[in-house]
Amino acid sequence: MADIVLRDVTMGIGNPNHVHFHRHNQLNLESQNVDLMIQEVNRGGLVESMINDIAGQSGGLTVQPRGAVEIEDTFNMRRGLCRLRFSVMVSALKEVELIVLGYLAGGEAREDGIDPATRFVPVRTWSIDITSISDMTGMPDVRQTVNNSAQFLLGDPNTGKKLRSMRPIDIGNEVLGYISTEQEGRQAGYVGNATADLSNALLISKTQNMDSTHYAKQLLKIAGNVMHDDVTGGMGIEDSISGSIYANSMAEQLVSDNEFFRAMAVATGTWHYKGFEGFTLGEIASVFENFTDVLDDRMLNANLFDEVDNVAMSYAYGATTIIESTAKEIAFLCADLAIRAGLTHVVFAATNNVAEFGGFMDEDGVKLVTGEFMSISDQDPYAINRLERFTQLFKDKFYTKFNTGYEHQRTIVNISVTCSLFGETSVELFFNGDEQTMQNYTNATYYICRTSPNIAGTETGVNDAVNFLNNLREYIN
Amino acid sequence: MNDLNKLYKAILMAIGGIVKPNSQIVLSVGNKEIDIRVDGMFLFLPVTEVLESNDTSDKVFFHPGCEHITSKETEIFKIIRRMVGIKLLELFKKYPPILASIAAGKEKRNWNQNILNILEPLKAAKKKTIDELESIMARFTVEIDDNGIDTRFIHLKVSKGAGRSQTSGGSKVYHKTKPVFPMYSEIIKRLSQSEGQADNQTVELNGVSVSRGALKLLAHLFQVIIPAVTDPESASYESTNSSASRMISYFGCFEQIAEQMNRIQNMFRGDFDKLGIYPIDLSWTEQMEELPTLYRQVPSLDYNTHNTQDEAAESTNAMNGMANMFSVTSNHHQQPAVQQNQLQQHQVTNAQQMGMPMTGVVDGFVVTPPPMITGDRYLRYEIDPYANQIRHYALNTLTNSQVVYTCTRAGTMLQRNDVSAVPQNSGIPGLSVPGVGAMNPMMAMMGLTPQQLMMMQMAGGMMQPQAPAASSGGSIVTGNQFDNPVY
Repeated sequence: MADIVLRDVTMGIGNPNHVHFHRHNQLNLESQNVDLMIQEVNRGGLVESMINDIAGQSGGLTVQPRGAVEIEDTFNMRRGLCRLRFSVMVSALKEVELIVLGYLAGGEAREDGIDPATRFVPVRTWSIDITSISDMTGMPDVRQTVNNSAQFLLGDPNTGKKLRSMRPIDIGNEVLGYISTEQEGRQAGYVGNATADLSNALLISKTQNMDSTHYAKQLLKIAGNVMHDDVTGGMGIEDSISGSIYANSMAEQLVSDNEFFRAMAVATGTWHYKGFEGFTLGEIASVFENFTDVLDDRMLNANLFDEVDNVAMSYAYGATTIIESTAKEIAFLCADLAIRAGLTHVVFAATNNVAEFGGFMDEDGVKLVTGEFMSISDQDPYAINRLERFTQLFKDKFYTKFNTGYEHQRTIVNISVTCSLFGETSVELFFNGDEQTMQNYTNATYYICRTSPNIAGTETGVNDAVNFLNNLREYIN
Repeated sequence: MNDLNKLYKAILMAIGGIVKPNSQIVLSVGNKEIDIRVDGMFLFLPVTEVLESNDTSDKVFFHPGCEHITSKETEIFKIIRRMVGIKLLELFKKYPPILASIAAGKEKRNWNQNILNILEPLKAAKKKTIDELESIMARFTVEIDDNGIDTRFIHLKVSKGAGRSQTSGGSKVYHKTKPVFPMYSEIIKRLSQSEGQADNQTVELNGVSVSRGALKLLAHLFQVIIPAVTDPESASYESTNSSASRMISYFGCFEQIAEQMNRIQNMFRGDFDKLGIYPIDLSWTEQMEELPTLYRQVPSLDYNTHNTQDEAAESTNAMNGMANMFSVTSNHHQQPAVQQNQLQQHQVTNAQQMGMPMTGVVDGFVVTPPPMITGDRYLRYEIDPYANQIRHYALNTLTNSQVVYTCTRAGTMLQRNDVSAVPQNSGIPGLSVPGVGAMNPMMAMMGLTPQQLMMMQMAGGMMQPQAPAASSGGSIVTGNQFDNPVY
């Protein structure tokens, strides 16, 4: 075990929110694209650019919500937040900074401290490589890169509703299981992939999975391999699926790979996470004995910050509308892209409406204006570079499916986003340049472990994805 | 209401649905309204007011136009299929009595030879024969019945397209729908087998004795009401657009059958009007060709895009009551009642697949093994000609002992005996199954006994996180520290 040291513990406080609803990633493939894929496969295989093209057009969230998200207490309250920052020493030249974010549940906080029975529920984690390098002139410099970032996926804390994880690897596993049992005629007894059952486990999902384009791409990759092997009669279907799901792009971390969880597990002897409800602060303090010395809970004070009542100020979730699911998609996408670019806070507005900028736009047909932003590391002279990266990523990931090559055929979307990596992300948007129809939604980023688009609220979502792959295989024959 | 919803509403009205003021879709049969459910949720028309309402997550929407090209029959389409089946069957049943009373009445001057030909056999028929017709038609069904006998009146068979269309300039065919008339075929078969017998002779039709005269008359009625029975290919419909292709081909075929049934009503308009029977409204059919673009007015929705059902669960939907028929379930962990059924279903499959037993008939004995309970692995069978019985041996993998299923010559199961242990489950197999049904599928899969499973759960319980025994003080406080952890 690498040497892990707790550097600081910062607490904060959230705002009241609307009840969030489960919405998961979905591949919504146009029928014409199926024909295109078949054509490509018959020529020898799907090319990467084709997969990207199709994924850009067809990834999205389910439009219809699938059940309200269950949370400890309620959404309509000011939630305590907590950030743990660790240093993991690797070598003299390299240090890794590990961040674990979580929210607080149970217990109470007063002027004189926090109840140690308060639970810390993990939400997100990432780590930053800090490497000493020398620049072109030979002067010492430090390079900081986010080397991995992930969300935790947790089950239903209240009613024990059966939630399933829908990371690309889970779908792959699910299909693999189904197909192998099907070949023996036992598919009726197949109860699904047990590792994806969130009532049994705490899972880690990499941040990219929040991007529905990424999800679509992974599914298309599996589909492409399966189709190809079916057409050429090469490997069996189990081989082609298992080959694709163990590829690097789809692999996921284990909880035990996380240094913080490993330290906790070693110290408390808890290696399994069935019915996991978070660690108590007392537990954490018993493992990291300097906990109280580095604790900064000044911001965990409702009187210090004015309450922003999102319940009164934004639209409620629960409708089956494109505008709502798009708002949610943007919120998830920003939470992914911000960390990928290395930002913790970013404000921007964007449009692909030609008319608003006198017809003169960036080459990609999107105008994106940024406001204030904040880098992931404390002192970062290169934060502006990170912002540029974010801008580019957002244009590529989000606007691709609304833009076509022709100005007159695009769907016009105007958005204005305030994204906090650990706070609320509020999205204002309207379609077709009609400002009268503007709606705004607020998504609490600190509940992502419960609201993640990688969690299926009902089994329908999983079956849907599994049947898609299965049907596609049969369709091409 | 947008154009798409107008089209959906018109279609639903044509196949016996009612859209209530709150946009809920119900089925109207006689004077009754029957709720339509998918996974326990009510069905709604996807109008904006409902889509924008605050909790849509417990509703299912009717949006078959967004079905994906690779999908199998979706849950919503299963409902459509049943509605269409009921609509056509109910309408057909009303025709013979009316036509008979017209035939019995006075001949009108403007009737041409065609009409006379239609009425001629009815005029000659006796009252008793007409009455018998009704009892035969009462046994027509919408779905294949529980015993697997196909008593369906009509089935619009959708098949995945292959090749090029003959009719529309050689474009690719995505789906093709062709009507099938299982009962008509059965009637024709019986008639030809009994060729030459007198009309008052009885013939067996799906296990029921009916007079040959009645069958002859019914065949005639089929031919005049739905001429497509003699040439189903003529009423088939191909869709050449990959969007909404199943729906377009299905309703294209439905339109042709409905048109034929309307035609005969229109010959005797006055008589049908008097009884309040009207033609199926088909005015919406011309909008069907716009569906590939119209369907985008509502986003793709669950239960409509892809089939969400495990294929193995499908047979559990063979139900009797009409209310059940319109309560479609898509997956097996959500509804306990269905879970039970499903379990039994896979027990059968399990047992048969594992030991790969023979099926068929040997020396006059049916050697197909009976349904086995979970955990039994099939080994072999033994014919006992003296007792006129057949014994199937299996290995009970839970207790590692041998079990014997004793069956009659015809394959009906008599009892199950545990050979090495004390016989526990002997008796009627149907009774012994629920006991095992209480096991959860996971357990059955892993071949665990309840005791073993309980052990596992207990072990799991012990691994729960426990409150630590110490704290380092400082700003962490006080009060009832670790005595009441807020779990």
